[in-house]
Amino acid sequence: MLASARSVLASPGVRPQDVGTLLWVSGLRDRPSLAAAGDDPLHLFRYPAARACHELGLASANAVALSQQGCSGLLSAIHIAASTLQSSERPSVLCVAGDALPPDARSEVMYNVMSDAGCAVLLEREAPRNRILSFHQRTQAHYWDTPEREQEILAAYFPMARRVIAAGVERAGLTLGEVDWFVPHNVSLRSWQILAGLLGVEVERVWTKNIARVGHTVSCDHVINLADMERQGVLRPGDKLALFTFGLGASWSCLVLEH
Amino acid sequence: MSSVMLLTGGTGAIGGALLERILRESDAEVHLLLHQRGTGCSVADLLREVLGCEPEPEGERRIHVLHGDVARERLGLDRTEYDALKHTLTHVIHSAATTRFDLPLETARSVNVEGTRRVLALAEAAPRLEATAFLSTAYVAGRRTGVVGERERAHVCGFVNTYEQSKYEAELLIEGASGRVPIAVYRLSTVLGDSATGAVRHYTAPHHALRMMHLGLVSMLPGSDEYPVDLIGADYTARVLYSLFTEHFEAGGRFHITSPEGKCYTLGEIVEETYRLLAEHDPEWAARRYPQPDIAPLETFELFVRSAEQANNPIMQGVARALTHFAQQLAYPKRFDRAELLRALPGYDDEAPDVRGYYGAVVEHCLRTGWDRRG
Repeated sequence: MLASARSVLASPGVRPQDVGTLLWVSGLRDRPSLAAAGDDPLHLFRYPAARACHELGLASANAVALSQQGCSGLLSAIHIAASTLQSSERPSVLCVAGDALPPDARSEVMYNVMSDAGCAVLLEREAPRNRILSFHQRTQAHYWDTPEREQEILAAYFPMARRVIAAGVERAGLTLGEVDWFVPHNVSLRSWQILAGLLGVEVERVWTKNIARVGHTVSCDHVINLADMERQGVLRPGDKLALFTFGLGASWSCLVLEH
Repeated sequence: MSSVMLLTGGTGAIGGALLERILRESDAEVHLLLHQRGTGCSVADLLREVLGCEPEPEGERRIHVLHGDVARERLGLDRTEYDALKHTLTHVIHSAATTRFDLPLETARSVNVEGTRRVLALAEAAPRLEATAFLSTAYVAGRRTGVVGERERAHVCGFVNTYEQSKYEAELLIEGASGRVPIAVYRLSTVLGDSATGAVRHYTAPHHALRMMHLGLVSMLPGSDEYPVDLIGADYTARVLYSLFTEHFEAGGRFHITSPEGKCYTLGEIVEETYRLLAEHDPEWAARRYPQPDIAPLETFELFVRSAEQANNPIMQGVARALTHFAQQLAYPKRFDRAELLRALPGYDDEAPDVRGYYGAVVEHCLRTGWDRRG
């Protein structure tokens, strides 16, 4: 995660002192473990977000963490970052996300192959690309108990996904037909084939090349995919992009960008 | 001499309603062929369960329970019982069937085709026989779309489930016997419940689909918002059947007993209404905010079902299979022509209850009983 953040901060024109907020996103590694704290509760207050600010030299940044949105975490963080920028004295917010499953955990979760990953995104006022057009999220609190509600979550996934994408795109003032690319979570190609059928869009407009190569990384999929799409020359200026994900917990989120 | 009737399937959704009507409106002696339900209990107990009310002593006297099985030789009766029945019978109503949509074809055939073959054999050998009714399904039309005529039977479009196919094959047997047995075929739509009370005697695929929605386990249904969902009330269907059979019997006749246009929901409407009604009757359920299932193109639905199978998740597999066998029919929109029915009963369309008027009572009944007919 820190390596990704350093890479972003080293980009041309980026000044660490412009970063007013660091948003730390991790659903699985958000706090020191109770076991490590021993009998001294002070150890529980060793927060990774503030530590990241310290290690990245972000002397002007406030440290904030977001930990309970699962795979929706980074899209939510981007939305919060955009709102923060509206009132911030400083012109940028750095979102740093990452997750790794415990070494002894199986890497298949609810029919997904999971990868460990970290990524960073810098949001700037008047940024030259990837302008945010809309963000739409629906949390269905009944599904908070994932093991208990697993079957109901599986059943709810598709109808909720279709509704949230349709609403997100509509809020951006677009139709589904005007979306150039659906930037997916990398859970499974099959799930996107089904979702494309429900949305009535061609599955060719879903950028699926990283699903088999990268797998699902909790909340970093979209940023990894966007970076690879850009690197491979897939994106053209002005392209409308719909980023969709689902986070256990349970939140369905859609972020619409103009590249 | 009064009529002597054999009724098979007398404890089913329509059989029970028919029995009630026969007892009320005729003086017929009724031989009730029972397979499982009713074994070991008195006629009075049986009638209490089937009719849901205290039987009249006179009605009780007219019922003769035969324990047998349509799928077995001589209907599972011993030779003496069988011969006695054969020599006295004047009317047969064959409504026994397995209405499960998910059975292997051979199992469905063993009841629906072979059972019909054995009832036909009895009818053919009965010297006093005047009329036979075969209760079929409008969905012998299978994957056909468009307007389906009552006189039409043969098609090569295939079937959504083994129930449809086995009933289609049973109709083929009936066609072959039509010169020898006075028989009419009554093709019923999906029976929902009693239009006056909402009571359901026999839970079938649409009730199971409703239950899965209540459990929050339905992701999608195949079809299109505007497709009509043909459902009929058990009581009205029994009344129409009884009238067609006793007052307008035509050997070789085929009748569609289906919903009149404008008296049924579209698929989009019934999904919407189902969720509204469940929320109204069950506030705890409403608080869960289950999303309504999407209405999906058939190929998307099939891909979803295939995925559930491949995921090897027994619950999702069960839901997907149940929906496949039932809801897939929704992806083959059709309209059942009722010219023959309307010729016999011109008032049918006007008198048929609108499903929108009693669907709520059916949903409420299912919730109250927990989908248990004894509830």
